[in-house]
Amino acid sequence: MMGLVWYAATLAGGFIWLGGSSVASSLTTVEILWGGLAVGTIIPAFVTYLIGCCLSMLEIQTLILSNLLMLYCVAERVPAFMAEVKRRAKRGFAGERLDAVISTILIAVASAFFWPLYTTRMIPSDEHGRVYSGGSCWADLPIHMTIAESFLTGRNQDVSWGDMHSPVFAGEKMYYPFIPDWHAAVMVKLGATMRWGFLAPGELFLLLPFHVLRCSSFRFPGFNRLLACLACFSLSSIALPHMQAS
Amino acid sequence: MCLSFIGLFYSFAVRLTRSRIGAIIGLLLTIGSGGQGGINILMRDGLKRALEQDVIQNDVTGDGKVFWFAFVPHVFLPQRGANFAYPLALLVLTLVWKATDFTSGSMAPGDKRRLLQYAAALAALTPLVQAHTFIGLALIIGTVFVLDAHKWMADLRILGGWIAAGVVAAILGWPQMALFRKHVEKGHGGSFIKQGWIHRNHDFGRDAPGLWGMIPMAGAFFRFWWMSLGPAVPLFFVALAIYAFDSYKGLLLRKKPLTAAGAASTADSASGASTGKATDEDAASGRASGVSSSTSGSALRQRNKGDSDDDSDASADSDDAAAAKKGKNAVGGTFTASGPDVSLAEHLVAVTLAQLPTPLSNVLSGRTPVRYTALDNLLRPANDCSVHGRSLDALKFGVGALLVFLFGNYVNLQPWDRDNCKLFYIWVFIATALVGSLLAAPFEYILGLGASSAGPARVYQAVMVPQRDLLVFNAAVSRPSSGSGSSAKSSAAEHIGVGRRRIAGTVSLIWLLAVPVLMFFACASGFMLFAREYNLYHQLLDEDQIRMGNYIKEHLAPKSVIMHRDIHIMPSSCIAGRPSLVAYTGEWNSLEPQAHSTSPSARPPLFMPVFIIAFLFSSFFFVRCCCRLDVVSRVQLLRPRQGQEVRDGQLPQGQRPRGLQRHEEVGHEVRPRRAPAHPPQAQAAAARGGGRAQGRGKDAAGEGQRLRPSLRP
Repeated sequence: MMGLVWYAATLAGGFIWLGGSSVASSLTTVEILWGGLAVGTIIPAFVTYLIGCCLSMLEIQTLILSNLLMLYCVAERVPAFMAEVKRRAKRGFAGERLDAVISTILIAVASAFFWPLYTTRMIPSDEHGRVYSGGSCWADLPIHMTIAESFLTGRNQDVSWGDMHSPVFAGEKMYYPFIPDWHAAVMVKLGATMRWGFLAPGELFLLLPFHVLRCSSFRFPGFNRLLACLACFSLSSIALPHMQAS
Repeated sequence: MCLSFIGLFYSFAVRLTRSRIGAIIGLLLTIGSGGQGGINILMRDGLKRALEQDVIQNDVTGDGKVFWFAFVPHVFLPQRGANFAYPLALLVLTLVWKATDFTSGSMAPGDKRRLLQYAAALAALTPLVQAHTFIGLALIIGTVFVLDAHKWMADLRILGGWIAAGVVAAILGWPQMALFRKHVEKGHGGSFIKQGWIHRNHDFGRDAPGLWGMIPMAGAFFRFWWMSLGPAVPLFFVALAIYAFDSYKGLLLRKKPLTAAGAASTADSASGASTGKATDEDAASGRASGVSSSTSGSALRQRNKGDSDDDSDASADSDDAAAAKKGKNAVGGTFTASGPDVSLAEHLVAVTLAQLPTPLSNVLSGRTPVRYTALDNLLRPANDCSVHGRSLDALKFGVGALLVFLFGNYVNLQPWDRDNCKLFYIWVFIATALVGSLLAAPFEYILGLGASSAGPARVYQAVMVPQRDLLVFNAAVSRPSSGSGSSAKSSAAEHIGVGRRRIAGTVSLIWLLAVPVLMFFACASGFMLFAREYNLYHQLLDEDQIRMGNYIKEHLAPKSVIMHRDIHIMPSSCIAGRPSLVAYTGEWNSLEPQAHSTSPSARPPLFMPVFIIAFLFSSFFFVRCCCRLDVVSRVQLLRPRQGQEVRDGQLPQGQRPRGLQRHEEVGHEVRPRRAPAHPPQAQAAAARGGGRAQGRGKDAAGEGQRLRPSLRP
């Protein structure tokens, strides 16, 4: 559970970090929202990895230090973020409203199609404990599981820069872009399952931006509250049964 | 991340093409990208059979001859690197698109520099996420940098921003890319990266039978890509040609300034990000005079100078003054003025310049302007006088994408050439956006969306309506109407002759009928595989395997090497994370002694953590400084003599800069060169900079307070 909370917090942090940056005024709200999610996924993975390299391990100390560093970076931007929010609230969504609505609809439609795919492929297990996947994920996810597990319980518990070991060819160095799997390992370390470590960066966080959007609709005058609420509730209605089933 | 991708793709495509419908079509083209395999199977065996197999990689022979990866089933679902990297890539491209916006109403150079540095820092995160994305972004941004030379030669501050961005990307990206160096040099028998045309390695690219042979030199190439992507590649070339044609037609108008041209049609008007636009007449007159002035954004400066109701010093930095004015007057504006800002790199340059002879220092530091504006003057109408508003800039992104496409065709970045599809998708994002705008044009024409898109004007352009009339039409439909909307549209359409309007209607109808056909051939296979994906569900690990994995996890040392049979799903690795002796067929690696060691000596040496700490903190502070250190203005680098008044950053003749000096230490009247020249503007700038000042915390706020008195003349 803590893993998911951590991930949600980093997404919110990415949103605040980008929204409080000096380039925020050049971006639309939608871009800040979705760009913040991309930033809030990748940068925390990098920060924890670099701190992990310094301490040569992925342990609780690593996570505490990296989270403190990230917390500082985000807290530093909170005033600027709030100023940006006030500025946009004062200005309203003039000119952005149509694009916000279109992208909301697009994402709602896409999530309706993508959610079943993600939930059934990201290693769900049945009542007997058997693990499933499908399609290309059946072929690709084992190597991602291997790499992530190697950070947690395997050869790469000794975290280092440039000295990580290949889990598939013993004795070789790992020359592979492993940050996404590192991200999953961090989530597992914090208490999430491997399934949620893979699934959450895929689609779970859709609930967060729509929650933000829903809140924004009450804060920002002129925004189409009804549409935002409908999008939020429709997505929730799609997502929650799947979450319970999985 | 897939939802983040969709939101960012839509936003980027709207910015790039000024077409909302085009962005949606582009998204469909991306998600459904695929070739002719599915269509061939559909024709021969029917839909049921087509939905049962991988129609992206198979044709009717079922031999996996088709070269492509479907976006969702093959890339976004299983490849976690793509899942993370592509949204970030789109954010980076959006930032670069904004930073290269020099149309009237665009940002001040300080903001552009900052955008470029942010884009570089974010792009530099991608090598350890997905190296293909980093290479693709580097190729596109590098191309845009080269083709944007006319802009940064006209304003060397922008060149400084590009250089700083390059330094940021190199510092952050190089250590990551260096990790792959050994593997690239020695992996796979020393041939990890191969050169040579990929299509020649595949059946469909070896020869060019039938009509394909009529294409000189490249028949096999186009046949290969027709099977892989259908009409997407030819449509991309057509889109490039149409954007080039639009730019060329705009270029031809450069000697004929318009009275009410479509200068108001900036690319970002569709996305609503650009505000504070000039009126048509103002912008047009600004361009008429601004084309002959020296720097980019001249139209806006001319307008602001003309409109200014104060006695601002004309020699003050006009970009900041314009930005201050813009921010002051903006209604619903999304931009803020940059205020004084200097990056760390510029500080270092300024300290170096202080040691040079004064004339040379003045030239290099920009106090004596050295600007090559002829090229910018020549090319600026290709943007301003195009129906798109930024056709030339969109073309530059298209050329960058084309370079990625050609690079991916010739350089095989890994042993399995299909993995180059990860690189091709960076091309796909731009290509489908451009093609989408093309396919959306007839819809926009019929729906009369001329105010928010270039589609109607593009249809008129296809029937050879003069560019001047199109710009007048664009300006008329985008101008806030005094009467009803329909009357405004009809009055705008009056600029086009009745005969041409009828021809345009016919052309748009034919165009419209062609769109579903093209979409079918471009997307059918992709969506077939997408539908098939819902039916795939396989067991990955059974109960015994899970028990075995847990046993290994609990009882064997973490560095134990497991030998197992030749299959990729093994409990020892998937569940326990133990290294395999050899996991897959085809490659045998000599073991290194430390692979079996569990002794502390196998831990990384001491210098590595030290290096990592140094790298971490230097990167953190460098990026922080480059992106956000906007406390000290450039002029504060210069310390004038006691009692001398310095105006606009111009030192008295013969006096040399003496290095870094904070404002509060100067203690006398200094007017920063890049600061607004009068109190109201200064207060406006301070108010706008409040967000950033707050963001920097107490020190920055104090800095702002200390700055304020010294700004007064």
